[in-house]
Amino acid sequence: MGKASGNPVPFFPGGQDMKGTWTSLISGLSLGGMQLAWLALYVLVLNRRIAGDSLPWVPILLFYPASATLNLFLRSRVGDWRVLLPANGLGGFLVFGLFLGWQVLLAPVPESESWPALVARFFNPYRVEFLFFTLSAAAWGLGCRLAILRISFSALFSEFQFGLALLFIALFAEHRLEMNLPHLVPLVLLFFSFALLGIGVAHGAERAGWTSGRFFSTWAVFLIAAVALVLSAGLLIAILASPAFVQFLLALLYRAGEFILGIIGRILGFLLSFLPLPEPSLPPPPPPSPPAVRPEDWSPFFLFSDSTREILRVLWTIMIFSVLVLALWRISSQILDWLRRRMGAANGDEVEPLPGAFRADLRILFLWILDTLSLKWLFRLLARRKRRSPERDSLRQTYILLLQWAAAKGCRRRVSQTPFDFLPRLVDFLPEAREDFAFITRQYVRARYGPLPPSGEVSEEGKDRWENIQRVEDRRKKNRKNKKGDAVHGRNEA
Amino acid sequence: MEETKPEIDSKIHRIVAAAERFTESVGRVIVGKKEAIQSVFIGLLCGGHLLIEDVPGVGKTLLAKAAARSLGCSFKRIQCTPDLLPADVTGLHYFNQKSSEFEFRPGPILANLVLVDEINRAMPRTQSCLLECMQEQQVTVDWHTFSLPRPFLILATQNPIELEGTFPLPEAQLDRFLLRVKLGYPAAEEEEAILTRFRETNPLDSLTAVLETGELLELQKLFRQVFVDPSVRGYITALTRATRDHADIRLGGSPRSSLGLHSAAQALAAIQGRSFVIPDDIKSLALPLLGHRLLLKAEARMRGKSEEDVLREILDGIPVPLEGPG
Repeated sequence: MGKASGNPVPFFPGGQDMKGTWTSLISGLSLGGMQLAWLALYVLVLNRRIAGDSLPWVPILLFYPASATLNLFLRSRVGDWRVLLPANGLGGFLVFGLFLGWQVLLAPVPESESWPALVARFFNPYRVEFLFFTLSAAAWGLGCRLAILRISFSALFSEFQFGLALLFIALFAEHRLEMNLPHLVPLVLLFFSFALLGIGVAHGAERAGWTSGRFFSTWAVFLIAAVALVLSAGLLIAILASPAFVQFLLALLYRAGEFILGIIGRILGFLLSFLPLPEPSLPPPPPPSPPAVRPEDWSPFFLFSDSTREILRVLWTIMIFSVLVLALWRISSQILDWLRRRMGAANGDEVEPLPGAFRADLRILFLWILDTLSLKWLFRLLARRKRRSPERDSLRQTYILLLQWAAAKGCRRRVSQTPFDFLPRLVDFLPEAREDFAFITRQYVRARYGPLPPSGEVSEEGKDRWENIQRVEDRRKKNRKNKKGDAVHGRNEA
Repeated sequence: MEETKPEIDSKIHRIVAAAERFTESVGRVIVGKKEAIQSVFIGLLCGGHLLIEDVPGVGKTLLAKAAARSLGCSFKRIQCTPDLLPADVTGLHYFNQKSSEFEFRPGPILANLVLVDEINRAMPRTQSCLLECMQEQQVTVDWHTFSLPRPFLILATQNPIELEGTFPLPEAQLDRFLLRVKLGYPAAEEEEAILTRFRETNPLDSLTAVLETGELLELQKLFRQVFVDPSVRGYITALTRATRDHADIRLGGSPRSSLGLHSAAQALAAIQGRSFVIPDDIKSLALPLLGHRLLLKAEARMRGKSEEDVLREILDGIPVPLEGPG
């Protein structure tokens, strides 16, 4: 769906210069028109297919402008979509509750039906009430989205692409199910007209297109002429394209195809006539029949047991799936890479194919989904569990203990110091443990910034070295105490 | 997330050996200055251009020539003067009267290693003709675009003291230089060694190629496998972004400088025989890589601050990634 980027045109005109008000209003209305067109088509399809033309489709569609207007008004008061969205959600929930209560509790139902059965019956998608509620909720949601969306050229363009895909699906469904909807052509024409108008105006408003140039009036005339042309061409086609006319066109195409294929066949026949025909050869003699084997004499070399066969089948399935997933992965990454380059080229950028970009994009998408579901912590937990190794943790813990110990002794590391920057200070503090400090620092750096975890021996040696540092310090303390004691003793003696 | 590539461990010695050979070869001419020679090798590995800047007579051109001699690739020299024209650099189409056709005569830029001596003596339009070559490794002459040979490296020298008749390099061009190398005056014992070494013959004449083009191209691919922890990547971006937000800086580091810092740190780690980058690599490369890209505010200059001082301030303020996931 549409996404804001570049210098978007805010649909809501508050807080911007007057010059941009009209363009933003037109862009917003165009986007709304496009959405309303495809939404109307879907409502009509569902109305015909499920509700049997009993759905009040006009009130449903009215929810869309009502929601957009109300939310725009609220936005001018509240000003933040973070409040608007939950408010809409809460409102929808309340309305749903009331609607459900009205349908389940107040509607006349047979006494034999239990309460859960009533609720389940309400959720039947073929039920007109449920359909009405769902569609009006969708219209309301889209209207709310329109109110908070920052409309830009790219938003309009992506909305056009999205709407076009939806239109195709709806038209395909309509054709396959032979529904003969009455408002099909006007709706499609409306969609394209709004798209043309909105995209052109937004492009110009962002000062990225011809509408911002010197020839604005000329191009504006072209734009209006193009919209008029599309409308008139569409109407003309709709008028002319009667079933008989289409049948005639198809028959014409069929005849033309037959004629061309006939000519190709004749040319091929003519060319084949130059080739010598192969001489008829005798059929080969039948192969000697193998000696008959009696069932009781035959025994297989070995026979797979059922369990082995089951395991092999599972393995085979896994292999096939892996190959399929791999192929899918490759194709998807190639397509994405191609798309990225094309989009970059469209903006005049040179896009380098980065290894792992597809994987990174997938990861971001996955994270976004988890974030939306408030489950990002799960991913972090899994990632941490996967990445950490006990040896690395142990070495890291040792270094943290070393830092804490040094800080307690007044030798604090500055946050901008790297482990190797800090090493000389540690050595100055306790020169006797120079080797131990150097070893722990070196191994910690390897474990912290390197790709591979340290071995068990290194981790153990790190612990030993840390204990040794503590022993050296104790010894130093004792020596100092003894020296002090000796000095006091000497003084007393003196 | 970046893949772990333990196979780099078994191949890193090739980079170390090549760096040692190169340092030894250039070191026969340039006395001391190990860091400067190492910077040149980092530039070679990353395919990044180098700006050698210092006062006259400290061996800027000699370093560039020694580096060129130590590589088995084509070498051209452009001596920049105010009357040097873009066509003198890129080449030109001339009308051959014998064949009655326009023919292209390639300029000196179409070589693997190009020494652009005293680059700031060339006029801005001549300097600008190097922009496309430096970034896109191609040259356009009369609507024809020619790819430059690989590897392609520009070693430019400039004298920051003598400003008369010079044209300061524009920021866009400075940003295209991966590293700025400063040689500085030699120490007393080094200067004595120079006198002894250059007494009879010029050691530059005896230099032979110690690194062929094919090998260099292979090493250029290989060093990219050096592992960079995500937290170290974060440290790089924090550093570059801090240069943009600093009160004394008018123009900070570009995304190109972040990329440069990333690859230069990989190269430095590989030269030191490590298969992973550590924050010390970033810190040691910050000044040669970002120093020439920063544009200080006039007030900062009046307070006597230099790019080095500001970068040191920034480095002192950014926490090194020590703890965190991983």
